[in-house]
Amino acid sequence: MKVNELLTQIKNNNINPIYLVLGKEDYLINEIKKHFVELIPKEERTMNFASYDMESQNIATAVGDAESLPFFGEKRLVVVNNPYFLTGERSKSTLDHDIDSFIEYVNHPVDSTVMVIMAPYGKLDSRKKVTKQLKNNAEVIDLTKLDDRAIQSYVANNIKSNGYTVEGDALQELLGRVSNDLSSAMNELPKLFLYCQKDKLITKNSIDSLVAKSLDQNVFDLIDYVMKKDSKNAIDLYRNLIVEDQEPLQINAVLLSQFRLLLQVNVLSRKGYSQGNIAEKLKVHPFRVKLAMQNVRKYQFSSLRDAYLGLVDVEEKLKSTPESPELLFQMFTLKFVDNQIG
Amino acid sequence: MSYQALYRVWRPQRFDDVIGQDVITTTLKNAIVTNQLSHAYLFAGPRGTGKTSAAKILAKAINCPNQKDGEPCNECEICESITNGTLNDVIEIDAASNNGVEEIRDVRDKAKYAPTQATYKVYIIDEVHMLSTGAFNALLKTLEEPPAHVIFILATTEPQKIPATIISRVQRFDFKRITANDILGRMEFILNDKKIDYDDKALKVIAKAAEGGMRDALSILDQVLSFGFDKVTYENALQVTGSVTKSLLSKYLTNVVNHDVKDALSDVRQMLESGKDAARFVEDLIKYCQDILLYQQSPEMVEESELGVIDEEFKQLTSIVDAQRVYRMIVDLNDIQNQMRYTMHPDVYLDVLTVKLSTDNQQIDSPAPAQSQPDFQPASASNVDNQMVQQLNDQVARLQKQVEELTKNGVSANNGGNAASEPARRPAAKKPSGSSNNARVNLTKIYPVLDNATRQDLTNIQNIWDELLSGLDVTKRALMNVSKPVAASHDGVVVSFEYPFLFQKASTDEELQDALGNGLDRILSYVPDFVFIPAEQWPEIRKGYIVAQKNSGKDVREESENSSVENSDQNDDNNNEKQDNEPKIVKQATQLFGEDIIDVKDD
Repeated sequence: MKVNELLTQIKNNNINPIYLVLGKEDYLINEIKKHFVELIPKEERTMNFASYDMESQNIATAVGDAESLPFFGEKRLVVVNNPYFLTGERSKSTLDHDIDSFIEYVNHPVDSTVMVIMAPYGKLDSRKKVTKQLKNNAEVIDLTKLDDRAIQSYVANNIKSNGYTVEGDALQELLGRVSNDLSSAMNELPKLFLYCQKDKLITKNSIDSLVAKSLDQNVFDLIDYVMKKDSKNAIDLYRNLIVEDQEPLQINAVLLSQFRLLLQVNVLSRKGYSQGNIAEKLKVHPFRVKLAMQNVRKYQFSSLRDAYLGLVDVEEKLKSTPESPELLFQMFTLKFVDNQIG
Repeated sequence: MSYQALYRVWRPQRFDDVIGQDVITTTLKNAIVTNQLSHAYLFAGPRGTGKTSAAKILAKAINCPNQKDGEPCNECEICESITNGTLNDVIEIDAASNNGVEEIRDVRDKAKYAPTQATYKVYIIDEVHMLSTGAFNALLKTLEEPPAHVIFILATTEPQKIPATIISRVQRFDFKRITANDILGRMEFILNDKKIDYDDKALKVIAKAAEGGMRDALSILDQVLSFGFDKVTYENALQVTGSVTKSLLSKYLTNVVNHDVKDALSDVRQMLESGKDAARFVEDLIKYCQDILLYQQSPEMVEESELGVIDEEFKQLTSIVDAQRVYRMIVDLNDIQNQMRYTMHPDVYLDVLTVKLSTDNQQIDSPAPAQSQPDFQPASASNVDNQMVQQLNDQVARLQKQVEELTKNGVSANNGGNAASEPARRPAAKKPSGSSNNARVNLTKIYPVLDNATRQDLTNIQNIWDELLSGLDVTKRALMNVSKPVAASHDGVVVSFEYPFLFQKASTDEELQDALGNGLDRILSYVPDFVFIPAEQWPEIRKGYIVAQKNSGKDVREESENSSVENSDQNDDNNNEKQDNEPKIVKQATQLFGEDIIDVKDD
C-alpha cells in the first residue's frame, strides 16, 4: 500500500489491526507515526498509546499491552520499533524475545488495538516463520521503493502546501544536493522557508547558501571547472575544500575515480554500449553512469585523458613529496589549461 | 584593566555584527521572530568564521526579554550574564575535553530539569566532532526527542566526521570562509574605532594571511600593533606574517629572467642577510611563479586574491616571461626545495639555484661558482658560455626542423606530380578495365586512393567492416556480404566484390553508398569515398597501377612500401620485403642532401 492511501485510510477511520511499515525514510516514518498518534485523543494518550523499542524491551511487553483493552476510549495504539528479529541480522542485545506469543497475537489480533510495526530495514528475512505470518496478516506499507519522481513530487507538494513557490530549477538543485534523499530534503526545507519568508519564493541562491554540498557534488563541480578550463574557479573551489579540512588524498581519489569513470563511459559509449550495458560492464551504479553519460558528451577524449594522467601524477607527488597539495593541484590545473600534460 | 586580545574585545554580540554570514543570520533571526526554533542546530565551518559567536548570540536572542527583530538587547541581566558565561541555563561544553559517554550522559540527565532563570536551556557543544562514538550515540537519543525547553547548538570545524544519524536530526548551517574584503572592512572599522593609524597595504597583507578566518586576522593585527608601537605599517605586517616582500621577489625574478646572475645573487645575499629563511624564500618563489602562470591565464583571479595589490613589476614580468620557462623554473625550485631539507647550508643551494635559473639550462655545472663573492665573475662567464651553447643548440634544432619540413614538402610536391601525370598513365591501365564485362571500373577514382593508401587505414576499415555491415538493412547487407575492403587511404576505400553481378548492382545503387557513408561517419567519424571493383579484376588493377607508376618514372618503390595494397599471393609479399630496404636509403639520402640534389635512378 502507498503512503497516501494509508493516510486517507487513517483519516476515514478505516483501520486495520496490524500495520507493518517497511523502509528507512525517516521523514515518512515520522509522518505515519504522527497520523497514527492523532487517532488517539490527546487526553487518552498517556494510557492508550505506547511505543516499544525492541532493542531494549521484550516483544512480550508490547504484546501484553496490545492484548489489554483500551482504557476509557475506543482504540489503543501500540508502536513497535526496530523489530530486528524480522530480519536476518544478529543484534547485539541479549534479549530473548518471546516470538511465539507475538505470532499468536498476529494471527489473532485484538480489534480495539492498532499495532504499528516500524521496520527501518531494506529487506526482511522472509524465510522466518514470524515474518511470513506477519506479512500475511498485516497491512504492509513499503517505503523502500520510492522512485525519484515520487520524491520530487512529494517535496514539491510539501513546499506548495506551506504556501511557498520554487524558482525554476531550484528544486532540482535542492534534490541534487541531498542526493535525492527525501528525509534530508525535508530536513532542509524549514531553513529555506525561514530564509525566504519575505517573498515566499525559494531561490536557487538561497539553496546555494543554506544547503551544504557533499564532497561528491563539490568534486562534480570541480571536474566541470577543470574540463571547462576555468582555472580560477577550480583553484578557488579546491582551496575551499582544503580549508574545510577535506583530506587532499581523498579529494584526489574522488576526482580520479570520477575521471576514470568518464573515460570508461566515453570509450564504451563510442563502441555503442548503452547506459545499462555500461553500468553492468563497469559494475558501477547506473545513476553514476547516467550522470557520466550526460557529461561525457561535453568532454573530449584527449582532454579527459590528459586530466586523468595529470591527476595520477598529482597523486604520486602527494604521496612521495612534501609539496603542498594546493600548489600541486594549482600546477595541475595550470598545466591542463595550457595543454602541457603528456 | 589587563589587556584583552582584539578578537575577544570585538567578538560580535549581535547577529548584524557577524561578518560575512548574512544568509545564516537572517535565517536565524527569522526563526526567532516567528518562533520556529529547531531543537538542535549544527554550525559547521572553518575556524574563525563566527560559529561560536553565532551560537552565543542565538542563546541570548531566544532568552532575552527585550529581544527585537531577532536581535538580543545586550543590556539586560540575562544577556550580560550569558556574555560573561555566568548564566546557569546556557551551558558551554568543549567536546574536545569532555568527549566521553559519561559527560554526555550527564548532559542528558540534567537536560530534563527546567531552566532556572531563562526561558530556554541552551547547550552549546563546541568541537562536537571530537565526541567518541559512544558519546554520539548517547547524544542521539536526547537529540531525537529533547524536552521542550532545551536547545542544542553543536559547533564543529569538521562536519564530515559527524555521524549521519546526528546530522539528520539537526538543522545544519554551513559557515562560509569570510572574504578578504569583509575582513578588511572589519579591521578598518576596528582601527578607526580605536583611532589607530594604519597602512592600507598592511591590512591587505593581514587579510590575505588570515585565509578567511576573522580570529586569525585579528590575532595578526594584534601582533602587528604590539610590534609597531600602536601603528600598523606595511613593513611590520610583512615581518609578522613572515612573507618576503613582493618587490624583492619580483626584483630577483626579473634579474633571473634577464639572465643577470650577478644581480640575482646579490639579491639572494640581501635576502639572507636580512634574516629571511631560505626554505621560506623558495616556497615564496614557487608561489610567485604560479601566480605568474595564473595571471597569464586569468588575471582576475590573482587580482582578487591579492586584493588588487599587483605592482607594475609583476605585470611586466608576466608579460615578458614565457610560460614554458616558468614551468621549468618550478621544476627546479621543487628539486631544490627537496634537497634543502637535507642540508646544513641552504644558502649554497640557493646560490646554485640562482645560477641555474638564470642560465635556464637543464644541467647544473657545479656548485663552485656560488661559494663566495669574488666567484661571481667566472660564474657569469660560464653563463655566457652556456648561453652560447644554448643558442647554437637552438640553431641546430631549427635547421633540423627546416630540413625536415623541406623534405616533407618535397614529397608532397611529388604527389602533386603524380596527380598531374595521371592522364598519361591511364591509357596503360585501360586494358584491364576494357576486359571487364559491362560494368565500368572507375580507375581515376582508384588511383588516388592507392596513391595514399596505408596499411593502417586498411586495418581500420577491415576491423570495423562487420560492424558497418550490421548497421545496414537486410537487402543491402546481403549485397555487401560478399564484399571486402582491399585498399584504403584516409579518404578513400577500395571495395572488391566476389561476383561481377553484385559489383554492378552495388556501383549503381546510390542509396547503398549513402548508407555506407553514414555508417562510417558514425563509427569512424569521417567519410571516405567508396570505389567498387569486381574481385577478379583486382590483381590486374593493382598490377596496372604499379606498371603505370613505373612508366611515369616515379619512385614506385617508396609508394609500394607505404601503400597497403592487399597482396593476394605470397610472391608479392616477398617482393615488397625486398624492396623495403632501398627506400630507406633513398629517404636517408633525401634527408641528408635535400630533394633537389637527389636523382633516384631505379636500375
